[in-house]
Amino acid sequence: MSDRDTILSVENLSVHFRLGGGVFSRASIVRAVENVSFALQRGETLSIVGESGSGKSTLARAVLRLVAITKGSVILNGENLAQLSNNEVRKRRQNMQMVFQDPIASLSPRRTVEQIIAEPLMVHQPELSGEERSAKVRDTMDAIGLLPDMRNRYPHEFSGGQAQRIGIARALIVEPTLLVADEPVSALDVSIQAQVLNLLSDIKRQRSLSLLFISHDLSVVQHVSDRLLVLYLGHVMEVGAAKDIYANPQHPYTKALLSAVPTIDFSANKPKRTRLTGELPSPTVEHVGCPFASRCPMAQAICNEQKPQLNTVEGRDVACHFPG
Amino acid sequence: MSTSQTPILSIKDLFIEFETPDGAVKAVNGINLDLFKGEVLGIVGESGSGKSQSWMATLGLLAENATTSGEVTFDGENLLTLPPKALNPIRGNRIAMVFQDPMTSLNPYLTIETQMVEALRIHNKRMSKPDARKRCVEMLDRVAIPAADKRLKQFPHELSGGMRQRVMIALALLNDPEVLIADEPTTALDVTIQAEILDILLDLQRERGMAVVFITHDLGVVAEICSRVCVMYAGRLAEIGPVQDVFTDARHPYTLSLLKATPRAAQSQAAQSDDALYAIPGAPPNMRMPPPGCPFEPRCACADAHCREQVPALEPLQGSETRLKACFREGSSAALLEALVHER
Repeated sequence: MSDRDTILSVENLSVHFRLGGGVFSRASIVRAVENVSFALQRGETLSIVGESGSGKSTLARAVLRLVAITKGSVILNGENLAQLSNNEVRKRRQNMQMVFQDPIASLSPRRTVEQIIAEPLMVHQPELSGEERSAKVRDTMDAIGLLPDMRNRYPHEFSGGQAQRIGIARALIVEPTLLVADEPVSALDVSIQAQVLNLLSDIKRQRSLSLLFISHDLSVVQHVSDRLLVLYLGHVMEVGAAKDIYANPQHPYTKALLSAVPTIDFSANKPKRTRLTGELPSPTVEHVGCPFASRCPMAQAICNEQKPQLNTVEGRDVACHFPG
Repeated sequence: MSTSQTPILSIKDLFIEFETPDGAVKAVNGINLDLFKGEVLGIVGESGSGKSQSWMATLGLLAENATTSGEVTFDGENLLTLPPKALNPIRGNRIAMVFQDPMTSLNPYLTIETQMVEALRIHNKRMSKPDARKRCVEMLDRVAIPAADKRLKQFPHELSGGMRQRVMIALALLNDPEVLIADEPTTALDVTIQAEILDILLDLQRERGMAVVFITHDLGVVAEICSRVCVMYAGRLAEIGPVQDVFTDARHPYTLSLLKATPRAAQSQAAQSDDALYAIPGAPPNMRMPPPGCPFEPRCACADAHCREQVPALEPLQGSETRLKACFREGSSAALLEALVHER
């Protein structure tokens, strides 16, 4: 992990939330993210996948310290964000920006496109003159494929795809090293989605940006990812090169997840589905054994008794007693 | 699907317009389509293509500012002109619908039991409450809801999204409909839950020989469950045919563009993740002022002057009984693809 090109390194990260707990009831703890470690290199895209409630958005938010970190560390460019004060973290946000799921809702309806895109500059580079700011906005809009005459228009005048471009321009204007994209294309139609995905991959290449990509759409993820992290109830199930995992998943959960993706494949040797029964258990339970055991088709007695640790299997890390 | 069969439901020259303060939105512009007994017909298209509205119209569920023309024939009657009183014994009974968002389509104030029993007894006046209740439990069992007895007593908010959607399906199938219209029923769900619900839906469809209209934007889902597919763009049909034929040999440039814009998670295929996706340029037309010619012309890689002036009719492909397309351009899928690649 001491690699010089490691931009982000997350170590044993846990995020817990207190739920309820008033005069008459006892609080329960939601274990949204539990002991997660991974590293992200310069110019690399790491995707976090999992079902709803798996903790993927919380994990991303914890990386930006938008939620409080319960345990562990988030090291960005050599600094542990978990130990910094809120004020200090705010200064670091220049290096880490976010693109949100709902493109229209994430833009202020009362500001023009120019004001929206320029806002991060006002916070992070207040020394710039109005002239310089405008020039930067123009350059960024140009790089993202937004026309100059859109500058004075308002978000509601744009389609979802255009609005998402504005959101991306806003994130990129401060030239971050890390971009976190939380379901950036799931609200978009296929043809528009392709435009935005191509844009993301172009800017990533041009700027050697590191991308943390969160999505529930495994086809999109396969298209954009260098590496993949599979999350279940806040636990890492499998993490490694996306190509390897898609070609040959080792964790039973990854297998089930990938096989459930509907595909346009009419060939006779189309892989058979692994069916999962039941739904995600409550995240308030602390697991002694493997959190996936209750739905796992391979589960044995040991799975309920002992939590599997990440072990290297076929070139990637898998947390399972019976991988393969 | 052999064309000699008589359709169970037939749409002729359907037009739908919505009156708005900014002018009329021409949402559906002349659809002709037959639905056959026992088939699963996929309707794909992007937002605003009219895929939902054309089927909402068949059940009289359009918003008040809508005007329709044309015919939707079911059992000898035109559903578009039936008064609500005559339509009520048909909808929810012989033609049922499942919507995308199960939270907003279930009543949050009523238990699952109240809602299911009502749906049964409104169409079967003489059915006793205990009988109705028994039938509800059976139906919930059928859609794999564990502890159905207990679930009946619960309110919608006490169920997960997947459970609610199962309840919606159970509710829709209570009266053994001949036609089920499913509008993006699994779009809000996780893939694992989606797979389970699609299996249940297909099982029930086969068991009852019902016709299913499956409205979705997900081409993968269509490939997995549908027998025929109908591709819509800007309120018109672009292409219809057996799913495998259309998806492996698309003849309309829009169908092909859509297929090339879709990222594939294909485990059996060599990863194609290195190529850029085909991004269809521009955006769908403003339906207040649809273009005079083919609606896809402004974004089409194969269009010429002719396409700008005249709307192509939906016509059978040469030598095919099952496939139709609305495009002036002749030629194979490969030839169209060349035009797309060339443009890029």
